[in-house]
Amino acid sequence: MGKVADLMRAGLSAPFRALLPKNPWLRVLVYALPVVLLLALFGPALDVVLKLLDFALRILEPLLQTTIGRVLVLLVVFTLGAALAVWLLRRRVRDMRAEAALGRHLQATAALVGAEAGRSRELFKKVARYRGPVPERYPHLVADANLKLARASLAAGAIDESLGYLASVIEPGLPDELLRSLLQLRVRAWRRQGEVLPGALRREVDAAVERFPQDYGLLCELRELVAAERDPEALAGIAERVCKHAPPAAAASERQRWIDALVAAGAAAVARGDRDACKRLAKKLQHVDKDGPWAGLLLGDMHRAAGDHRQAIRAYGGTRSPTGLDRIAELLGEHPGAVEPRELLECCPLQGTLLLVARELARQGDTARAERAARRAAEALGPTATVCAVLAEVLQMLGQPAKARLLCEQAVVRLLAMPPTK
Amino acid sequence: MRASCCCFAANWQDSAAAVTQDGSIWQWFAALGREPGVVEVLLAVTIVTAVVTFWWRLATLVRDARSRQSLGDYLLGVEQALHGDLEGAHRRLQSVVSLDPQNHYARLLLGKVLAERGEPEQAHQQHICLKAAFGIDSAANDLLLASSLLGAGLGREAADAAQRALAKEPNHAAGWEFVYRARLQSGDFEAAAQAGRRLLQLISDPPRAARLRADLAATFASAGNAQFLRGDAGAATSMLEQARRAAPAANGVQLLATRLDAQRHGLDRAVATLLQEAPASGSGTSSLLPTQQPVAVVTPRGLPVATLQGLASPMRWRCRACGTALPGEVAECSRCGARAPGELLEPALVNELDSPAATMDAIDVNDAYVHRLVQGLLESKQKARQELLELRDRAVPELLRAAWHLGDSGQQPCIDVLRAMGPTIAPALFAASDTLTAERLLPIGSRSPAALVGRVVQGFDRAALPHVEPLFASAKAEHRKILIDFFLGLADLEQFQLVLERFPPIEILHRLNKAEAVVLQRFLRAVPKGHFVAESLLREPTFYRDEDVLAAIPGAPDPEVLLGVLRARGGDSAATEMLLAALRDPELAAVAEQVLADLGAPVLEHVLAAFADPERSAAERQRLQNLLVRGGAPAAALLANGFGPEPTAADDELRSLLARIGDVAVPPLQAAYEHSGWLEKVSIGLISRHTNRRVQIVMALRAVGSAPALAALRALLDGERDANLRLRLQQALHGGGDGQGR
Repeated sequence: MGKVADLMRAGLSAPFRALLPKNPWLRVLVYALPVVLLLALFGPALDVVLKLLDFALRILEPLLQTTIGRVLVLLVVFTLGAALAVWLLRRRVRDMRAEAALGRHLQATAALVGAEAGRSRELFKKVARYRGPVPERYPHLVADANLKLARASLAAGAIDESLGYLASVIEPGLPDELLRSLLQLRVRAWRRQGEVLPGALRREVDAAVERFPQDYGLLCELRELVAAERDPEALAGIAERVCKHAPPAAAASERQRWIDALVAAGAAAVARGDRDACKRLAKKLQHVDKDGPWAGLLLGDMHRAAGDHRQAIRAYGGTRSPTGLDRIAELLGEHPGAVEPRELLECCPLQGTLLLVARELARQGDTARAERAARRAAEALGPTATVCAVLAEVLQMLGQPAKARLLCEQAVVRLLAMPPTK
Repeated sequence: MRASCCCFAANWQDSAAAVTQDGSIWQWFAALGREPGVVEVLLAVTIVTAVVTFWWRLATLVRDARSRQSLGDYLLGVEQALHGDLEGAHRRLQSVVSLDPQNHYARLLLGKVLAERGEPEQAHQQHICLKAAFGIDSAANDLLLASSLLGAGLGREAADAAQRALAKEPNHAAGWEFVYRARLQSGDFEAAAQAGRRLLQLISDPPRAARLRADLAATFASAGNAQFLRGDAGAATSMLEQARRAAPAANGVQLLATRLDAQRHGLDRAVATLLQEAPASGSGTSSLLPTQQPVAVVTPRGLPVATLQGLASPMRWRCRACGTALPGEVAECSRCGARAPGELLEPALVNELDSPAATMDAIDVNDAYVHRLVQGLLESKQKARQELLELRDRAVPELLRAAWHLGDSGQQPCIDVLRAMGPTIAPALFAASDTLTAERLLPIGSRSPAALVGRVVQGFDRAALPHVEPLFASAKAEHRKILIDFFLGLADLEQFQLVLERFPPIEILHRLNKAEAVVLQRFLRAVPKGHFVAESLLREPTFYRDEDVLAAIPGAPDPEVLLGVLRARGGDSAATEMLLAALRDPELAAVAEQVLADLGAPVLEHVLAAFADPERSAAERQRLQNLLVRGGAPAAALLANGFGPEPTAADDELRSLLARIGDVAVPPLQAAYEHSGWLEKVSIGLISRHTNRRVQIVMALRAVGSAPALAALRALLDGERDANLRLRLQQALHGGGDGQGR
């Protein structure tokens, strides 16, 4: 029934609509014409209108006589005209405002990308103050500007200001990309501010990490928090996650941090005598840093802490590293004669070990062998800084300070490396 | 309207005239404002202008926004790049760039993202695209381009690119910092110092400036050291001054100062000064000597490191790019940003030993070590020889044992080393010999260690006498041999008198026969004329070293002594063969020829046999010819019998020899013609008398050509019945014949 009525109505009005002008203003005029005619039929009503016009002219006339009056009239006319234009073009104005805000945001972004920090900040501030209709193409304009301002403030150390911008961001409805930034910046700002209770901050970071488990920035924040908790093993676990999700440019340094964390965890395990943890961490280190010495050093530390000096030296020596040599030297410094020189060389068959052998023999008073070992070390290593220091000690014990001085002289001459004379 | 305009114009002129009259512009403005319509017009114009301006700006913003495609992707991509979601940012920005290639900022950011993703080549491509294809000439893009170059490991190119970008924006602190780091990374310290100076001017933060100043001092020092090593001491001095102004205690400053000081005052003085002026650690004196212990900066853990007055780094690692001391194998240098920069300062510390057991053996100097050294010696390793020489007594038993086991084939290197050790090892040598002798199951003389010891001591000089003398008291046969050998080696006949007085000649002869050629020849040369050795011992038939006697003659002060010995020993087959063999030796040939000549007829047959050997050289044959010519009649008789049954080329040589012998050869030739040759004897008269032998004799006589030769020919003709031979003889007598056999 309704359809039939609609159809009839459309059919009856079709010729009338066909005659109507296309211009909306003219169309309004056509619509208004019958109304005006109707009003004209009512004289009193028209009189009232005329009276009103007359009243308006009476008010305007004195105004037009003076400069101030004319200015007022001018302002009123412009205002009314503008208001009428805005009212009539309100939809277009809305779109234009939104697009203009978007354009400003784009300018700010371009300034940011082009490393014009000051200009981008000013433009983002304008965008952040915008309260008009949002552009359809990018409705998260203001939130985006606030995030960028917050990031800039955080970088400049203005944490409270940053938190202010972040508080302006309305979280519901935010796309993941912006939400991720929001969470990142918020936890970073809170951590730096230091006024949020650690538990609350940890919960916040955990929630953020749960929401974005692969976010490198959030994981870094979590690592910072865990580091403050002084749980080296947990820190190593987080460092592993960070390393896994680190961008390629930061991968090497994050891997180094992970190794450092594992080494620290190992040291803690050694300190508390947890051999199982030590072995587990050493295995992990071996996996992470195949060519590095850290796994062997950790096992050495473990044996050393357990009083098994022979095994410790074997583990240190197995690393074939300068650090391993240092650890052996340290151990032998504390426990002279812990192993026989022959065994020492077998455990750590490096040229640097000759220095340790010489020192051990000198300490034992075995002058001839110590001298031979020192000589072999000096021949193999040359007059380097370490050789100078160790052999100075050995030769002192052997009662040959002149040779020590000679070695020093050679080392200095080598360091000076004079250019050939012309 | 026209009237009002005219009125306004008239008022304007009046007002202007008033301004010119009283000179007050403010009064003129006030008068103008009082004119009707002026303010309203101005207000209307202002409002319209404001509206138009606002509209224009709004339109620009809108136009910019509307011109962008994929705007949402772009803005979200930017945010992703900022919060570190490089994968998402890359995906989004790539899409934006492909849909909206004119979005240069998206491309710029894409380049940044690519660089962070570890794809510097791709990043570089984007920046190049912006610069070349779109003509974007911005410092930001150029700096990112430089950054991608640095990421690709092109430090120098990156620094150059960044410096070009900074020409457009010279106050870009981050840019100058980049240049500074890139220059450091490429090891160009001088350029880094320049960039650092510029950066210092731009930094306003005092703590940061202080840090940079200290770092810059180290860079000045590095630049100075590089200039110094290039030989530019002037520039290095200038750098040192700048470094000292910036931070006198910075790394490398002390080293540069010491180097310059060493160049100015000499290296020795600089070293001495440095070692003397070391601040004492609490002792109140100043020295780097170990007694005062200031030489070493002991690291907190492990091996100490000597810093040598700040010349050496107290750390074991340094950045291979900028040379900064590093605490370990860090992932990135904090100073220059180089990746994996760790370089061990003393790499030899962790060099593997070839064999720890062998090294420890060397320290212990045990038997295994000495044995290994001896093996090395036998493999001609010079180092092993040197070490054995240093070991001296410790190495003697093993060397002797090795020499003894090796036998003649390889014992010489061991004997040489033992000799080179000098006479002080004599007691150890004798003791080792006794030990080895005691270990023998079968005391076979030729395998006696004493023979070896004897060879060793023969190489010693007079200084060994005190060590050898105790052996005189020994009754051991081995020791007696050693003694004789030693005195033989001394080649001093006065000292040898001791041996002659204490040992029987047969024992001495035995040692003479066993002595090394060189030793024996040296000894023989020292024998004076009339000495018992020359007059008796060497003439003994049991002395078998004729070749060494001959070899000793050329260098002997009195060759006649040894020549006399050889003459006295006569020309038996062995001696003659040795002498004929010596004709091959240019040094001995003359002596051998002389001896052979002296020996005379008994050796002529051997000489002729040697002459007939076609393998002998021309020089040798010449000497043999001389010998045969000097042989005279006996030689001629031998030569006449040397002609074969058929004519050969050798016949000509024999004939020429006979001709050289001359008249002395005539009687033997005549006699040879008359008696039968061996062929005739064998054939028992079955062949004719006309043989090649007789024809050659006739021709030889003709070649001699003297009166006795012709007389001999006539005599032979008279007695000859064979027609052919007669014809030959007649031809010879009348100068005919071709000399070519029958």
